[in-house]
Amino acid sequence: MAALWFLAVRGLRRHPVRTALVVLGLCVTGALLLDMTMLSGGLVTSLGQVLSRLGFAVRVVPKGTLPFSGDAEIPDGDRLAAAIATRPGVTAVVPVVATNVYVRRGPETFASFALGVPGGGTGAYALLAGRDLPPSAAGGTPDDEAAPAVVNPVMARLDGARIGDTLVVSAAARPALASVTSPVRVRVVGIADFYFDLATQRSIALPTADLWRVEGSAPGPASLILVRVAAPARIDALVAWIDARDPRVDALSIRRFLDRAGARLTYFNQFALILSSLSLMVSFLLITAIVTLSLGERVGEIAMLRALGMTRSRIGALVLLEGLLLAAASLPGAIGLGLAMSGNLDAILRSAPGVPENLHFFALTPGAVERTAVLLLATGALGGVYPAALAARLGIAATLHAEVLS
Amino acid sequence: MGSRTARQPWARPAAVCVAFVALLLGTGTLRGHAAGPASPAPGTDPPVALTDRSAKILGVVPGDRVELSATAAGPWRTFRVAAVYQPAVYPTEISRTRVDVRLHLADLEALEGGGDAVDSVVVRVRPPARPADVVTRLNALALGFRAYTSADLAERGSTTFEVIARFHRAISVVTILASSVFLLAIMTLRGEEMRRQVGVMRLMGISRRTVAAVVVLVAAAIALAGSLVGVGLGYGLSALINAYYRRLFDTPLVFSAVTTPVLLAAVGLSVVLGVAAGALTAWRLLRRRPLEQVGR
Repeated sequence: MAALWFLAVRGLRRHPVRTALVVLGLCVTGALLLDMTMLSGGLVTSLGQVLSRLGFAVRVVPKGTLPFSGDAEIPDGDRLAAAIATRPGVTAVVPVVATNVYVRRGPETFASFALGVPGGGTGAYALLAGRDLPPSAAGGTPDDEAAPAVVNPVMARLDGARIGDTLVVSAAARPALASVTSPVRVRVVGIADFYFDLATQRSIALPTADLWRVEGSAPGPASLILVRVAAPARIDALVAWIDARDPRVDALSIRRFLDRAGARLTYFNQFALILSSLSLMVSFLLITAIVTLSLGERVGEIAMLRALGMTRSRIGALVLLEGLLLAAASLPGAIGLGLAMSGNLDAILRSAPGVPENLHFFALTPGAVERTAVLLLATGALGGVYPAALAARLGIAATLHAEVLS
Repeated sequence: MGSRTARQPWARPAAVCVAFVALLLGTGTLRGHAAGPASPAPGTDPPVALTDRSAKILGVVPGDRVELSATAAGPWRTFRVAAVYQPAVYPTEISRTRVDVRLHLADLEALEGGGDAVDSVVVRVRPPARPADVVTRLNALALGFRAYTSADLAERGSTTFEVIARFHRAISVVTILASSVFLLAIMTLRGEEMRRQVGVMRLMGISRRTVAAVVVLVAAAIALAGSLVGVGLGYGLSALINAYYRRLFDTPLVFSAVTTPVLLAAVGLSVVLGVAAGALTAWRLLRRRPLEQVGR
């Protein structure tokens, strides 16, 4: 085997420019392959990472939807949340109301996403500065007091909302409609990172009862119920119980959530599949073409090796090894270039409207690197099959005779 | 917009599909729909119009009855399919697998238990009024809505496609880079093969310029041949992509188009790259003296 390695490395080093060009070409196609592997399922992986970080094992949503994907609500969200809280292993249940509101700060009015939560410390957002919301009082904050609110950094940056500022939250954009809506005065008590915010999205969280007042709706409905579970083994049973209890909702474990989200991302998976196949095909052709063409220059050498006693199978193995070495030599460059390219490609795709800040299209995972390496090495080996077969079939006497004549 | 559910009372349970109904309170699905359903006669079920795809999914034809509900748990209300129509297809709506149902606003309000609210209002402007002026006047009203011209909406709606196009362009740069290296590697090998031949040509008195032109021509011919094969592959792949996605989404939309500018760009770029690779190879070949090239 050592002899084969020696001969293969020597064969490749004999033409450094040619070998460098092939390795460079394989670096580019390998980089594309890595990027497409990262893209395929990248969003789902990225979403899974964020979801796992939040710590909620189950999300209950209106049937057929995903969290915050529409205006649909769970009519008796509060009651369902209370029932879920009684199940074994459940450590926290957070019914969340989400809607779009208008926020007025001085003369300026801007649209914002609003989250109604029962109180602070729910994990629906991560506090960055100030203090969290107090527990939501039944019936909401008294009219003569400003309700507490937490805003996201975008609202703080773009609109100058500071801790201690007073804002007016309303379902209508214009003061003229204040008589038909219920504007609520709020005081900013904290600034928080709201998961899945869009790049320029303003978000505000206030106690659920106060948000119901803004909406002018009766207490009870929820857009989403977040559930923490102490024992992961109980998740499936809890999901089944919720599904059976209320046909109007879907209980989504993280796996079920990702499956449902993934089903809406077929474009990226199929695009990645097509481009991965193309990059593998180009790598295969590159290796096959170069190794086959270079074989033409070395038929005399191969015939000599055969004459010295090297078997056909070892000659074939030598050529296969050259293909494999070319692929292996390109791996570090392919991974480096792929990572560099993925940052730029991710930035392009993330500039699309409606892509949350925390999500990425390209997710680097050990599995993606491993898959790329295996595919590239396998392609290198496969690319060497045809020239290896040609080399193994060479007749010793005829080849040496032809070499002498030429 | 909320999720609502449609079901056909006599269909098999599997066909009692959970469908998202694009109702008038939806995302602008008023656009391009066929003539609306006839007004209901007293005592009859109110009418609905279905897109041809929705009718196929539900397995219904005009005259059949369907049940609609604002929630999966009901209450269900029976409607009569008054019309099946072919809607204008918009790329932005292509991935939606829901059933589209059109019904009278009053019927929808009754179904939802709400009223006096719409998601969008389409305004047709009579010349010589300019849409931009009308939009400015509407936005100046002290009401809780925002008006857009059709052009504004089209621009907002096409942003995603612009991003995807930019992504595709970035990928094409990578493939061009890969093919350039491929071509250069092939030409390096070809140059090695031509070394002796070039030496003989030079010894015969053929000028360096002519020899260089031959090498460049060979490279350009290889690139042109490769690009022609690539064009064929491109057509084939494009046909496969269209066939697959048209079937997947049940739509006549074109997903992949091999246009003349794309063809010209691909072939032109290949030839330019071929000429560049040929020039580089010729330069490397002609650096050596003729006798050295023939092995002396």
